[in-house]
Amino acid sequence: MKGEDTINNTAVEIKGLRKVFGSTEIVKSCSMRVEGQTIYGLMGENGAGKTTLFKILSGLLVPTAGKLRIFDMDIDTRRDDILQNIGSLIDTPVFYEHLSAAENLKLHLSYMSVSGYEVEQILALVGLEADNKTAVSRYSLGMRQRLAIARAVCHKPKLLILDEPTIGLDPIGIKEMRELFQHLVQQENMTIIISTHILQELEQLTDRIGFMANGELIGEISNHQLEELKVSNLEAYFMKMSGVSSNV
Amino acid sequence: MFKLIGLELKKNNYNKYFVGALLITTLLLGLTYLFAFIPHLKAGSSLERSIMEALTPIFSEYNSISILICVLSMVCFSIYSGLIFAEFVLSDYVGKKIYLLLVYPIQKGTLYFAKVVAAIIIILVSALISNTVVFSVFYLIELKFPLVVGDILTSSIVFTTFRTMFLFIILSMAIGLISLRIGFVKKSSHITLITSFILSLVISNLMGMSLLTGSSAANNVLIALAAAAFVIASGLVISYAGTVAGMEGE
Repeated sequence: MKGEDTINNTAVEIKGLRKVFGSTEIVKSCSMRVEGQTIYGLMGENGAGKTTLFKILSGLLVPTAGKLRIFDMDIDTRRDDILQNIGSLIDTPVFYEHLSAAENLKLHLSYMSVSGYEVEQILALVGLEADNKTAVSRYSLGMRQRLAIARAVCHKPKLLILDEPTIGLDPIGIKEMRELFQHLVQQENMTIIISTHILQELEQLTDRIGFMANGELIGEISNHQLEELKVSNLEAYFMKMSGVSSNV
Repeated sequence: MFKLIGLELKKNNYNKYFVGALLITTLLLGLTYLFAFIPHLKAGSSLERSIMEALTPIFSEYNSISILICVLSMVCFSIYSGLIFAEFVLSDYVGKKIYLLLVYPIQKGTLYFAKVVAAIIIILVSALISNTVVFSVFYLIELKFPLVVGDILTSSIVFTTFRTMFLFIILSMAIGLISLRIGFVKKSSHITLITSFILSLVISNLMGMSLLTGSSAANNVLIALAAAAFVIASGLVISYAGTVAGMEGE
C-alpha cells in the first residue's frame, strides 16, 4: 500500500522466476534483489529477456513460476496494491492519441486512483508545456518519450521500471532525464530499475548493474566496483559476461 | 464501477458517434417521408402503375411505414453498435494498447465490464433519441398535415410503434454484443463490423417480412427474438470476462 514501510529496505525480490511462451523459455530461473531508493541497471544483449522481466515486474505478464515480491508484497495476492506503487515505461509508449498531454496524465491519475503530482508540475519536469492543447498524435518521438516518462512518474510510484527510456531523446533531453531520475531517487525516495544499451548512461546513473543473458541473471556489479571502471572497461566487462571477445 | 464507466466515456471521443447518430436520424427521417410520399406519386407507364399498385397498400398505413423504418434503423444501429463496441472495447485489447489496461491497479474483468457498459450507454442513448426524434417529428407533423391518407393516426399506433422501436433497439445492441464476441476471436474490428452487418441483414429480412404480413404471431416472435438475442449476447460477453482476466501484454 502507498506509504507502507518496507521491511529491510528491499524494493524488489525475485526468486527462481520463469516465463515460458509456448515451448520457449524466455526467462529462466531468474533471481535478483533490488535495494530500495537505489538505481539498478539491467544490461544484456537483445533477446536476453530484459523486456520480458520488466513486463513481469510491471504487471503486463504473469510469471510461469517463481516468486516475485515488491515492497514485501506478493504479486500473486496483492497485484493491485503493487501496481499502484509502480510506474513503467516499456516498449513504444501508447497514449490516447486524440487527447492532449495534460488530459492523458489526468486520465492516468484517475485510473491509478491517486493524486500524485500536479499535472502542470510533472509536465514542466520533463520539459513539456502544460498548456499545450495539441493532440498527442501530433507529438514528435522525443515529445512522446518525455510524456511517457511523465506518465510513469506522475502518480508518485515507489518503483520506476524504465526500459530504454531515453530512446528518441536528444543529448540535452538525455541529460535532463538523467538528472530527473537522480532527483526522484534522492528527493522522492523512489527506486528505479532501468535498462539501456548506452553504457555511459548506466555508469553515470546506477548503483548496481545486473547482466542478463539467455533469460538468466549471470552477474552483478556494484557501484563500488563501477567507480573503479572506465566506460571502456564496463564495455569489456559486458562483452566478457556476454561471451563475446573484445579488443579493449 | 461508475467511476470507471465515466472514465471510459471521457477517454473516448464520443462526439463523433453522436454525429453518426445524427446522420442516421436524418437518413431515417428522410426515408420515412419518402415512404409516406410514394402513394402520392403519379404513375406514367404500365410498369410504374404496377409498382405503385404493389407499394401503395404498404405505404398507406402507419404500421407498415413504422415497421420498415424500425427495421432500417435496426440495420443502421447494429452496424453503429458494432463500431462502438469495436472502438470502446475491442481496440483496447489489440496490440500494445493493452499495456495501458494492464498497468492500472484495477481488476481486468471490472475494467472490461466498464468498457462494455460505457459502450451500451452510448448505443442506447443514441438509438433511443434518434428513433424517438424520427417518429415524434413524423407523427406530430402528421397530426397537423397528414401525408398518409389511407390511415388514421391513433394512440394505439403510436404505442405499437414505440414498442416495436424499443424491441429493435434491443436487437441492435444484442447484435453488436454478439459481433464483439466474434470480433474478439481474431481481435479484429473489421470482423466485428462485418458480423454486425450480416446478422442485422438476416434478422431484418426475417422480421421485416413477418411483421409486414400483419400476423399477430410476428409480434410475439419479435419479443422472443429480442429477449433471446439479449440473453445470448449477455452470456457471451459475461463468459468472455474470464478470458480477459487472463490476458497478458506480450
